[in-house]
Amino acid sequence: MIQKKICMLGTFAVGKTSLVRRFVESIYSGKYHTTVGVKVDKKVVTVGSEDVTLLLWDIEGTETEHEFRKSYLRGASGYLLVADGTRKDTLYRALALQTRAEETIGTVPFLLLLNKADLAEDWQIESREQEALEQKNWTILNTSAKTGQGVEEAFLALAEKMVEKKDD
Amino acid sequence: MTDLPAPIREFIDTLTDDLLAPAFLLVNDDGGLAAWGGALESYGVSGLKEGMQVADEFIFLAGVLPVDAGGVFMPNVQTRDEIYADIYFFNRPQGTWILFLDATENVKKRQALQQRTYDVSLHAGELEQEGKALYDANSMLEQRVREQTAELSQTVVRLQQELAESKKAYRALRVSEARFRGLYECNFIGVAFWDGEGIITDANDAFLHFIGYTRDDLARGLIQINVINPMTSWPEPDPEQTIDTRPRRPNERDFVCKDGSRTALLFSSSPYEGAPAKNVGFAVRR
Repeated sequence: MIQKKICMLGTFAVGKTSLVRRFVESIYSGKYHTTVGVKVDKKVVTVGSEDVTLLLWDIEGTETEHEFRKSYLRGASGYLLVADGTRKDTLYRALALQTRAEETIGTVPFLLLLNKADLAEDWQIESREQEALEQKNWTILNTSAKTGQGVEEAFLALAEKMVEKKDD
Repeated sequence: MTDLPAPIREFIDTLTDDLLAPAFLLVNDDGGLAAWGGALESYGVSGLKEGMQVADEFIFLAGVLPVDAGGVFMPNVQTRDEIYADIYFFNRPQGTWILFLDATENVKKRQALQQRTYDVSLHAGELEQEGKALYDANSMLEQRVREQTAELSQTVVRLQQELAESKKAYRALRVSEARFRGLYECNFIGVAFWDGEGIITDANDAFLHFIGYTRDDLARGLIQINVINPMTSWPEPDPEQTIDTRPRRPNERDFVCKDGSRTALLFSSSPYEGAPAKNVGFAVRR
C-alpha cells in the first residue's frame, strides 16, 4: 500500500490538531490544547482505485517560522498549511512557513486551509488576499474542524495531488 | 570522549538509564532492521524481527531513512499515548543507528508552560481586537460628531441670518407703526376701523370730530359705516373671495353727522391685509 507523509504546518492555535482529530476520529473539542513536538497519526483513504495510507504529522505550532524544526518535514510528500481565518497574522505566518518548507523539501503538493470558517462574523482574511494567492495557483479551502466543513475534502484533495505527482 | 573515572562513567550510565530510558534500533542501508535493544517497549516499539522494514512498521520513522552524514534529530516525537522521545538518527559503519531518549517529562513541563504562554498570547490578541473595535467605534463616533457639529454650525449660521432678517423686519415694522401712529394721532386726518358688520370699532379724534360723534358713542358701538355714509354701497364680506387689498381711490363723499347734518369728506378705504372682514378708512375735510 502506498504511504504518504503529510505535515500539518501553521502557527499555534490555528486548529491543526483539531483538523487531524476531525479527519481521523470525527471528533472535535473546543478546548485548546497546545501540541508539543509532533504527534503522528494515520488514516487510509482511497484515491481513484488505490488505497493510500496517510501519515499525518501534527507538528507543534511556533510563534515564528524561525523556531520551526525542519527535521520534522523530512520525507513529507505534501503538507497542509493552516491559518486561522479569524486571526489575520496567522496567514502571514503560514506564508512564511510555506517558504521555509519549500526551502527544506522542495516543491511538493500543498493546500492552504483557512480554518475556523464557522466563525464567519470574526473573519479577518479579505477576499483580495485569498485571490492573490489563488492567482499563484494555490489551492485554498475554507475549513472548520468544529463543523467538519471542508476537512475531508482537504485531506482527499492533497492525497490526490500527491498521488498525481507520484504518477508524473 | 571526556576522560572520566570509571565510577563517574558508571554513575552517568545509571542516571541515563533511569532518566532517559535509552533504546536503539540499528538499520541496514536497505532499511532492514539489524539490531535493537534498550527500553524499546516503553516507546511502544515491539514485535521486532531482523530484516523488517522499520519505517513501514513505525509511522514516526516513515520518510526519515536514509539519513545524511550529519544525522537527524527529531525532538519530542510522540511514540505512543503520552510517551514522547527525542529521536536521534546517525550513521556509523554498521548502519544507521536510531537512538530513543525519553522526553515525556520534558514535554509535560514544556506543555504546561507553552499552554500558558499561548493562552496569554491568544487573550492578548483578543484584547487587541477588542481595542481595535473600540478604536474604530470611537473613530466613527468622532466622525459623526464632526458631521453633526458641522450641520449644527450651518444651522446656527442660518438662524443668525434669519434672526438678523427678523430684527431688520421688526425695525421696519416699528418705523411703519410709528408713522401710522403719527398719522392716527394727527388732528387733520380722520382714521376709522370697522368690522364685517360695518360697526366702527376704533377711530381717532379727528374722524369723530368730522362726524360729530363722541368716544362714548364709539365705545357703545353706535357708529356704523353704512349709517354715516349711506350713499356708498358696502359689499358683504365673503371669506371665500380673494382679498383685494389695494386701497380704493379717494373720492369725496357725503357723511351724515350725529345731528343729521351732512359733511363732505375726501375718503379712501381698504381692507386690512389678510382680513376681509376688517377695514380701515382715511378721511380729510375739504
